[in-house]
Amino acid sequence: MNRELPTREATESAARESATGPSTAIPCPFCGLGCDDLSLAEDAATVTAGAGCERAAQGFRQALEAPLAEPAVAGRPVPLEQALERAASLLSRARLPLFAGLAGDLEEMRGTLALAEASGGVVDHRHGARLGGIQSGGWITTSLGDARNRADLLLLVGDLRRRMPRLPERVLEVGDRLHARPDATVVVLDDGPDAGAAGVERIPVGPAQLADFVQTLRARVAGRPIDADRYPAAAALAERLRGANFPVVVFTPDCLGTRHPDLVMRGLAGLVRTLNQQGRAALLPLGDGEGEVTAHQASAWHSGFGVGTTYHEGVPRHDPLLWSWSRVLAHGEADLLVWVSTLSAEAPPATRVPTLVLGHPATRLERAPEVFVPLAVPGVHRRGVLHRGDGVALLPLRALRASGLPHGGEVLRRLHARIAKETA
Amino acid sequence: MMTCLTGGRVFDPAHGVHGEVRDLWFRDGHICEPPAAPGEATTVDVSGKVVMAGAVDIHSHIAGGNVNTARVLMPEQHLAEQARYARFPFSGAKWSAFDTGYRYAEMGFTTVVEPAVLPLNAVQVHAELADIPILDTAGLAILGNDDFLLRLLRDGGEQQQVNDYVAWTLRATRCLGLKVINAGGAAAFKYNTRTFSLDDVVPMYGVSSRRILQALQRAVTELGVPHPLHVHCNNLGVAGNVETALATIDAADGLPMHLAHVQFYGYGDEGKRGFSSGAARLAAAVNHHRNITVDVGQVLFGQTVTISGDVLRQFDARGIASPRKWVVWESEDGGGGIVPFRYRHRNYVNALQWAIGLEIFLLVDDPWRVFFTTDHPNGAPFTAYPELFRLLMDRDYRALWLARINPAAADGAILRHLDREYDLYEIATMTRAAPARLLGLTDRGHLGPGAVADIAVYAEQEDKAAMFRRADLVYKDGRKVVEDGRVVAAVRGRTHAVAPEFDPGITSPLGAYFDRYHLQRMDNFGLQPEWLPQALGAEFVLH
Repeated sequence: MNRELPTREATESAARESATGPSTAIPCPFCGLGCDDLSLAEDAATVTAGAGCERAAQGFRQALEAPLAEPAVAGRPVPLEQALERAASLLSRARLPLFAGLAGDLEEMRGTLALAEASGGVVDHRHGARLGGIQSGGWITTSLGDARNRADLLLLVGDLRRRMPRLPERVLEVGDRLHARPDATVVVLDDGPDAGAAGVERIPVGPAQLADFVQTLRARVAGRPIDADRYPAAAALAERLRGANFPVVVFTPDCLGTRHPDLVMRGLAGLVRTLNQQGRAALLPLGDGEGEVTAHQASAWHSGFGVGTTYHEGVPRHDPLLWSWSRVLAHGEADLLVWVSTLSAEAPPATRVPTLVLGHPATRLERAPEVFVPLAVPGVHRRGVLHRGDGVALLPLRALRASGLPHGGEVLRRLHARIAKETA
Repeated sequence: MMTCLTGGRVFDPAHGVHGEVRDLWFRDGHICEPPAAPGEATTVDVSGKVVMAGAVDIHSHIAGGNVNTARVLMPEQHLAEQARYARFPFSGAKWSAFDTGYRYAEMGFTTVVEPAVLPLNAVQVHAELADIPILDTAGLAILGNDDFLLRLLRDGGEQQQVNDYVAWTLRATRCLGLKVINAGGAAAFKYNTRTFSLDDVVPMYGVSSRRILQALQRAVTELGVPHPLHVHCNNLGVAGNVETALATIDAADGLPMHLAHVQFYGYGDEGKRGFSSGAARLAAAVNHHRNITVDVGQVLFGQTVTISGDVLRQFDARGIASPRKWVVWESEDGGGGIVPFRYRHRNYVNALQWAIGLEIFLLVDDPWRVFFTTDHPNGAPFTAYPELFRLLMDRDYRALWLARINPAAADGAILRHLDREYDLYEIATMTRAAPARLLGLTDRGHLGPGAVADIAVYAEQEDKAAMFRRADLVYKDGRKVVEDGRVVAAVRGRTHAVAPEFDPGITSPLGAYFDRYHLQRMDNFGLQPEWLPQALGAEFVLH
């Protein structure tokens, strides 16, 4: 089945067309909050991201100012076709290619999955398979918009405001909520240095105690007997959770700050289940951005499983620990690293394994990879689709400025066509 | 180039063709008249075989966030041993978007409707639908638990505004029709309501479920959307809920209304277990009210996972989750619930559910108004359709099952007294002609000139399940996609939608509403037509 993907020319014409269109209500692809009210400045060179969002400003600036990078093989500039030829030849010969990074949009994820299936590779997002933590028991969740409109107590596990600078303005302190309800009380579980922002209540719980604290809180909420000296703050918090009409527990896996977010997530899911026996409560698990949710969702409808999946047996096999990209790479199991990353310019980790980088034009490469193909950045240089961090809403990313760079989805499709020919 | 299928027994109820031996001609993707003069044509001998239009499924949960979360929750449900078609993408991935297309096609299906598109999640639905090979698809947009509508009704908004809002939503989501799920129930659940019936009122809005239902039904009717309002009633799965279904039929007030998966509403509360068949009363009401169509949502035994936008009922069902894990999720304007379940034939309730579904099929006398769904995957996965067709066509086979299931359920059901057997003409009506007509898709479900050349050919067999499990030949838009029950070409399908007109004045309060309460701007919420093919790879046909 051949998906008709836009050609490079179409991408450019789309960019030209929308560059003359409205320059407000621009969606931002650079974090999980999914703001869509940004503006393009008169000079079309900067994007205004609302009050103090350094993350968006930096993301747009980096893409808009990126030089027109050229494809390269072993550091030597070559035409795109030559780079693709070399990439396809490495892919065809690879025993176990590893597709990682995946900081991209839906089209890049679709292309990556098709290529991984065709070449029998492993697929994992740079943040790992952290959103599949529900497999053991399920959970009760809500969305960003519902939390914004209805929650009366928001418990932030880890200080998400550092990762999502506009969280207060968009969700926590909005002033105008459904049924004229006052803003929610915000409580942050965090012991970070700048966790004590004005007006926000903080319970200092560090990553090392988090799982234990959550289990204590869960036991308190359930009314189970527990040592009275353990986390006195948990007792008061449990009472407030039980007394609230709609408490919502917000976290991203990164914010849990622990190597075992599953344990904390399961504890929080149990806590919320208990609260729902009599009242209402929900979790709000958020992706950390960089296409994490889109990678998870697209992988699920392609393979039936989230990321952390391998295709080397011809059918998808999922095991988030076994097929974690960092483990596969560290143990020398992969013989080719394919790093797909347009929403982040971060370079792949240093490795002796030959590497293909299909990514951001300003990727900070310390060492020339076997192949580098700079791509258009979705939401800046071309249109695209990206999930909001809660996974419910999707953002229609805009093309703000033509770049002359190829569309990642198209490049992946062309690679797919080449290896299909070579293996036929 | 013309193609001619020669010698087949054609079943085309839209044209009253009842198994007569006819040649069927098609060219350029469409059925055509036989040529006046002999010319160059490919002839395919289908002598003795059964020829029907491609089948059309009006209610099958095949895409969207709710389905996708169920995939992730239930990895054990779809572990694969080997790739089924080495040539085609993701054929080793069971329950993927891709596998959905291959499996439907093998059975001769060419059009499938996803009946629960949450507007906020519509982009994902369309992305998934675009990835389903072979099939044409469509979605039904969900309203009825959204704050904008409830607020409009609370504040005494006029029907015309509701109509404009419905039309805007259908365009914004690129859907073929409108669905309402337990009208107001998900909104009420947000305020900790645990049961919700037709005349219950949504807290904070003072609007009853009936009021929401009727406002949406009128909107769909007045907008001239061909598919009637697609209704998931209150009280799904609750003993005694046949009363709810009957009250809903009355509430339709003679206007067209489609009731989805009515087996789940065919329950009386009699007998010592307080759970009995209400099928006879329900079927009688459907027979009497010719404005009503139903699909059944048949239960078949085995492991499945229930997926529904009825958040309140799914939360209530959490205790019967098997295996013991479940998901409930909510959002701005609705949500969903995922509860795995195993229907057991020795279990009284499950066995009676099985019997009630079949009773509804056999007691509704008009095959143009009853549809064959299993509410995939709620009653059973769609791959079990051939088994269902056999049950409808073969009373001896039903008797075998009646002897195996829970005896109290078998005794309590009237199924053993029903001798009716569907014939091929009725099956063709129920699976082709009627659903296409109900959806307003006039170019399919039949084999008249001008129709799309979506054609299924079956080798007739005594075992009707075997016959319908693997079509001998399937053509999609005139292209051969299945041969001997195996996919031979994975063409791309299209997605169908309506685009009703509305007063653009509605976008002024709506835009302000989005700015005030949503995290998305109105223009970023709606799907932009020119953006879809590029960003989603979707091709749309507007009706």
